[in-house]
Amino acid sequence: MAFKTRIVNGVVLFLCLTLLYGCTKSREDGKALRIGIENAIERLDPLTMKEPYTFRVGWQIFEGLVSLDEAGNTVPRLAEKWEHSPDFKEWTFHLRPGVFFHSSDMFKTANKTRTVTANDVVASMTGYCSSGAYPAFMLIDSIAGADAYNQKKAATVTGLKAINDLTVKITLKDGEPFFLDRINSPWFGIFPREVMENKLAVWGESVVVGTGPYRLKEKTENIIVLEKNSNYWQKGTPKLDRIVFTVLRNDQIRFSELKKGNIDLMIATKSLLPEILDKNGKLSEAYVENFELKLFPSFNSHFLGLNLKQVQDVHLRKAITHAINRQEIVEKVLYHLGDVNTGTIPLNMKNFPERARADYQKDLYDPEMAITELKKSGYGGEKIEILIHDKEGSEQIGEIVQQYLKRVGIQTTLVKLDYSSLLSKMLKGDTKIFNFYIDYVFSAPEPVLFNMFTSMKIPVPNVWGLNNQEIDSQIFALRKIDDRTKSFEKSLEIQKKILDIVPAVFLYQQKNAIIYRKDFKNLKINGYYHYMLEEIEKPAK
Amino acid sequence: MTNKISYYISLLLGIIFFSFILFHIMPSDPARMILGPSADERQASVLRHELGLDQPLHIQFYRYIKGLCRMDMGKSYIDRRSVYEEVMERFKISLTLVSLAFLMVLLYSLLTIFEDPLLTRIQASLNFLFLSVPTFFSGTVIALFIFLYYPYTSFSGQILSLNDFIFLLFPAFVIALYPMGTQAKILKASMDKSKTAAYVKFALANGYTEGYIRINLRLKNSIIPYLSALSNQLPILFTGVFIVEVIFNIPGMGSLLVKSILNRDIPMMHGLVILNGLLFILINLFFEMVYPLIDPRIGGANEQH
Repeated sequence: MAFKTRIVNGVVLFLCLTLLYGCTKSREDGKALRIGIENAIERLDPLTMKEPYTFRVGWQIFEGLVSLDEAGNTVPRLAEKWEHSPDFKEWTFHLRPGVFFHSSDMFKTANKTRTVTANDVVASMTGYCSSGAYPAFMLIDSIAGADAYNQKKAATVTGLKAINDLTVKITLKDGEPFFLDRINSPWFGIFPREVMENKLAVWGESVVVGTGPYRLKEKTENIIVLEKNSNYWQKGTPKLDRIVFTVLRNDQIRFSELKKGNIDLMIATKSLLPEILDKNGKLSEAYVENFELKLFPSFNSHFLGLNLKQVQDVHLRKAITHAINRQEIVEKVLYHLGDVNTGTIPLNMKNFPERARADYQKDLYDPEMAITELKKSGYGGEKIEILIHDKEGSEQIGEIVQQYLKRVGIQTTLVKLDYSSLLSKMLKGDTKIFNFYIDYVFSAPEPVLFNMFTSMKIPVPNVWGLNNQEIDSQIFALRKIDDRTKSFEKSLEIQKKILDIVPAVFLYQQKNAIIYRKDFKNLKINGYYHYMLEEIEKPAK
Repeated sequence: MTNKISYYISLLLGIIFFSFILFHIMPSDPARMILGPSADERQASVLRHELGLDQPLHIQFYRYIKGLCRMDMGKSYIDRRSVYEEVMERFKISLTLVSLAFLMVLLYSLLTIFEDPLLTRIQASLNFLFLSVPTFFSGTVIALFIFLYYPYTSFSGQILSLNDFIFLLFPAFVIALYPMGTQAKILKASMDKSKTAAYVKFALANGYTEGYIRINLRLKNSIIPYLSALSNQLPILFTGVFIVEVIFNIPGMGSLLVKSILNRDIPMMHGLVILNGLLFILINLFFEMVYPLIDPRIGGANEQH
């Protein structure tokens, strides 16, 4: 009996002690923002980062020459001002004087930091053109000599020159009035040239140095702590002392932590939308008192791609376009968090003509037209394979598409693959119809059209294999239009011609939802899904 | 012993070779994984050349073995981090978890030796429960319980504080459930069987106390089947870690393996398979060395062979 009592007492004592210890943990974190993220982040190396949850952390640490504000304007960052030659081939950037890197042992100076110079910009941009750099595809078509450097045929990028300590000249292959829209993405953060010179093995792990509003304080697999960069060039920012990112993979657990007050902000992922939103797509009554919901569209496009070599009949492609009810997909899969789009150019890009919006968002769903087009086609009732994947509600989208195609008489089979397998099948051209999405890394339509629809971009990102010389030359001609509004209108015209060929059935542009505690104000997010956390504040109660 | 070591070395080499072949015949394009869907084909082929992926398979294998000798398992296709460092970092967390679970298994199963009637009845019911509840179910229920009602809801990713350590106790308990049931049952069966053994009757007749006989004679004779089962349970503990780490959001070897499989990160998967193989070999080797120390007849039998 005494033995049994001892065991029971021991267990009770242990539970009490641990609970007591847990209750003594401080829940108050000063002016800190605690963010729940869905997955562990990758290495914080700007050359290799590719996942959204890594960007959320990395883009607080690094910043580029210019950036995009919430309204879609290109605004100065490390470059204070810039000018270009009349033909838009030469761009000169004047760096902001006195911008310091975050302190690090990599600097052999007394205060373990130094100012950013033009050589750092050249070294960083050269890194982004290298063969192993994820964002290289954004620059090698554009900067003179970047292609040769990427192909290991040159030791430097000839188009990148440091004129003096604070001036950088970038020479392009062809004039690009939209060049700033190519580099205003936070992907092109400037880092110290020592990283490239010394090939630091710990770079991105324990050593992460940029000029951004926050610096890396500590990083474990599940928790990343960023602290305020008190040397930040923009005086008065950042307004918080700390940002703590906690990895919480399970959606329900993450949401439960938000409700319990253990985190302050999280993305409302699809599985949580039925609980968080009411039937009108607004924040549910139960959460209005304590939380804010921020909806914003990033530059994305969700579509059904049609392989033009495999689905050659344009009438069949048109029948598919008119057979699908996009609005139903937006309602059922996205809980209204999306805009039906007939094209791929995102609606929230700056200069999108107001008068074109209504037409652009009109659902092309017309079953009668679909049946008419199908009759004109040579379709003989054979089953067409639609590839779907394991992300972004692709399976649900596939089921809705299949159901609507069946109604007009098009028989399909859904084949579910993991995202990587679908990608490799797409690249081999081994697909007929595939559900896919793209997050654009440009803030203007011209590079979007160039990448998605010119023949030189076959097989990727021109995954449909559109090869039309007339369209190619029209897209190239966009480089000659210096008026950004006119260029946008012309881009929409070109896109309309492309849509007549039907390389894809563009479905919608998704809106992202973020839920956060009402204690925080001024959360700004741009089209690249960049949380500009230097602006967010926590007013005293 | 030399024979045994050379057998295990050849086994390890076999694991390295066959996993290399299997992973390399999988349809995947590492260059495309590194560069993403937007990079053009020329860029991807330069990277393939840089990574040596355009070399014949036997050259790639030679280079891999050469790297292994320098503790270099290559770099992740996802973010170019060192596979060796990443795997070892995760291994430390999984090892802590397995050690805690192992300790729980030992403590729970060794309670059997007290042969207290009430304790025996409670243990019999618990053993039934532990053996019949699958890990994914017990793991999910306990995870939900602690995330809803317990103060320790996060693990930093390293054992940095008491908080991290306490958090690990629950997942360790989940991993330990099945082995606790099995080990306790095996020990109880052996101990019960030894009650009627001739040497026990002899010892009793010679005036030895029941407690002395239980610990020094019956336990000593019952420990070999117990250890033999334990040597089989240890690899199960390491396998159990995989699912529990995913449920409890613990960045150990299991969650790394799941992530690598989903991303087709072949160097990382290969590193994990090799480490896992090495672990199984070391565990077997350890127990084969321990048996003769407890029961010299086993060593003698092995030598005769």
